[in-house]
Amino acid sequence: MTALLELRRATKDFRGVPAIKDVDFTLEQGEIHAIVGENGAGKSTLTKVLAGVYQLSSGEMLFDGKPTQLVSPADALKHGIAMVFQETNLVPSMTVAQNIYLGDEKMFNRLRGLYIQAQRFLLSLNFYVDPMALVSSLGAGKKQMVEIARAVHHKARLMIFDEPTATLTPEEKFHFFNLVHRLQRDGVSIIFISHALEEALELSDRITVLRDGKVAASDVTGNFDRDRIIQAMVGRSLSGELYSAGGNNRTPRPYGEKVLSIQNLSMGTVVRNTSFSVFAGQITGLFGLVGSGRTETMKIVSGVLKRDFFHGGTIRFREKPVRYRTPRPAVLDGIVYVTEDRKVEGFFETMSIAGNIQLGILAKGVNPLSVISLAEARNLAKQWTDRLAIRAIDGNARVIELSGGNQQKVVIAKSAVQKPKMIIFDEPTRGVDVGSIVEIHRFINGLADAGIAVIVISSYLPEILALSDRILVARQGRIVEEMDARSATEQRIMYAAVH
Amino acid sequence: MIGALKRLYADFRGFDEIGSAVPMMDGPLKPNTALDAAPVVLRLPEVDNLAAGPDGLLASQGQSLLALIPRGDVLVPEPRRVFEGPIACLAADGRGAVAVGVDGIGIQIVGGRHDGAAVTELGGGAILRSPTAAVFADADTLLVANGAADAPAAEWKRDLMNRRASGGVWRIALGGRPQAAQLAGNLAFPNGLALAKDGNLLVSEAWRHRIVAIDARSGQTPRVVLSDLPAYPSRIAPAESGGHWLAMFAPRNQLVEFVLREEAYRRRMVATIDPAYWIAPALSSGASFLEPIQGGARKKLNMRKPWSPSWSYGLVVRCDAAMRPVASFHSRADGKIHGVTSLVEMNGRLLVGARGSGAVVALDPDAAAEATP
Repeated sequence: MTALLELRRATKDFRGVPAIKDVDFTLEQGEIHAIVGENGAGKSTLTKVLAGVYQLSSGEMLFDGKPTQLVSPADALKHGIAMVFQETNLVPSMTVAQNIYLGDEKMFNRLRGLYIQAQRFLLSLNFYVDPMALVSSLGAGKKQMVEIARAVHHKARLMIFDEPTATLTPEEKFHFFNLVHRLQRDGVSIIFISHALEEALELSDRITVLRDGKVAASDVTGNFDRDRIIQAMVGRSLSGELYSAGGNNRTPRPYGEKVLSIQNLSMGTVVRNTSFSVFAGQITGLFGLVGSGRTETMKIVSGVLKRDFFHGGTIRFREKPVRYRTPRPAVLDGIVYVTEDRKVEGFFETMSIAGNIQLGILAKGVNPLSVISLAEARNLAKQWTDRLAIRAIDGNARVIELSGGNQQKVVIAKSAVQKPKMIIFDEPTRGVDVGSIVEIHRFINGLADAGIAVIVISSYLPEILALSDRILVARQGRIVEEMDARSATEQRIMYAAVH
Repeated sequence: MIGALKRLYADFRGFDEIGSAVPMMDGPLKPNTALDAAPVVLRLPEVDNLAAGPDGLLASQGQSLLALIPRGDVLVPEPRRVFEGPIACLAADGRGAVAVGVDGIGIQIVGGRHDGAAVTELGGGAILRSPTAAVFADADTLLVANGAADAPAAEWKRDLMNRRASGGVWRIALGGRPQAAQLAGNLAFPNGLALAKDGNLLVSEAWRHRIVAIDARSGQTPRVVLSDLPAYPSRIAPAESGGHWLAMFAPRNQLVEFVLREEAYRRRMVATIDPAYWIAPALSSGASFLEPIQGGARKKLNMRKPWSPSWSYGLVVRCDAAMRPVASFHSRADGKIHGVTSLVEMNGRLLVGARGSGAVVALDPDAAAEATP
């Protein structure tokens, strides 16, 4: 194989602070290359340099053996480099077909022809997406498919995927992996960023590990295992901490007071007559495939969604029947929901860490006459920054400037500051690096040890097994199985979730 | 008026204002087959009221007081005495006295320094008609639960279906002429008593599916310590390693909860149908085709589904010192140990008396820790 792309001593700094420094990187023709690293390691900067979003501060980039300077994403696309971002860049008010052919329109477009062409094209990729559907009506997985289809349509020679599988269902992941192999057979080179190390090990030919903006390791995939990748990522082995506490080896925490009792809860066809209980001083893991209604159930509990108007069931929180129409009374009662979609629902990105934490306190309903001074808020932010090891210059740093793991910690701090009696974590470590995962897990365990009822919703089975004292499995809108941590295995959980 | 309007609105909207939804058996109450797997140490129809007496284990069968003598792995019943009515409860003080509650009549003391004492009236015209549970506070004081003010304990099903709450707990001073003082009234069929370490008296209130604590000396407004139970609680027995054992004699059932709301239907059912075939909980079921069946198949390939709705069930719950359930032992709809009404922990074994199935099984108390986390 010959090198399609090469970076030599590539450095990109922002106001003098290097995001990547002296990076040497080679991508062969038809190679699948995984880039892994903690949040803030420089993965996104590196790929954005390759996609023409940023230009190098120093160093050299060779494409097809020739020195190349990409000035914009459009320029990169002309060179055959396409990037599929984690947050899709589609136009929500346009249809799927219009998005695929955006920027490639003819003078006169016949919509019917466009749809037929798009239909054929999507089917050739095994993507079952309606070309006439508005993008705004699609789920995250389907949007990702449209984004990929757009890149394939532009006949990219190099495709860069940023966390491509984070929002996909297992079946969609299977199709995605097939597509990647198909593109590889057609000679397309692939770079993909992933926090799911198993995927990197399974899919890629080569893995490059970044740490603090530098290449910590780069080798063919066969020479890596999970532990070696983690060691290279964080500079130490986390095998004793990450996902190790789970399984049959530990004693689950005993049952505390029954905090939440749900009876026959229903919401349309998404949550269907589900019943279960949650106990204090325990972590209750809630597993289910996409569409199983686990997130919706918890959103009803926390007042984000409403149950059916007629015969929607009963929720008892600490023996009191409750039915929240908005999250605020739930927060006042001590129920806190930490969202899975932190960027949309989790924080105010242009506000500081301190500002976000202060909002968390205000939501708890302090006396409206009392004012939280700025100094007080900063002090609180400092405390939580230390407690959750949020890596920022200070509490005044804007949340948008933080890495994904640190943003997630801010969301957690904003919720935890409300002193909940029950806290619901929805995908608490999605898009979070392994170092932060350990810290977030430690914090969640600490909450349960302090007697708080903790619910963890996760699609990642090792996480469910590592954290949970008790595991509930949701399928088709209801809880179908309950397991204790000692008897649960990945196979048993998955069997219950599917059958 | 406002309450009635609220209830109407709640009914219209489907709110569960009166608690007709039956809580899940999950968490520490997650179903298992531990009771069915336990060794049967005695088969005796209508066996009830297991109690640790001065000379060993006591039980009752109808009007007979029995001693249960260990012989190898099993217990052999030996009649001790026959009373005028069915024995509804037994309590031993550990010093030789046994209080025997005779259904419809009252309490009689056998042995000890108050031997022969009898309590039939409770003062103020109240009669100890339904002595469902008793416990000695000390050698001279007996605490008694009167399940219903106007019906014997054997009529418990009628008490439930009439939605009565006429029970009470009484403190009876046995010295001289017994004096009774009410500790709590308007209880919905209290049928289990136990003294907690903090001096409170724990009372199981069956029809309200809860356990309440009252001051064993002065009485006061009952404080709820455990509620929202998925079955009707019965006897409470102290556990040797701390906390308590709680027997649940029948499962709650959504159909029963529904019938309890339907005044006209319920009255007609009570007036015209044999109680054995009522839509009501039972100590045992499945013996007659005349029993009401419920929506949904209860059998598949002629096998009773363990999760099918059942009138009877077997359930023993291990509670901690704060009366929070921590583990449980079950005999499900297809099980053979139903209608658990009494418990006693003796010599490292928990003996469970299933009156519905006419059996006593022995459980390893330490297995509670293994049964559920």
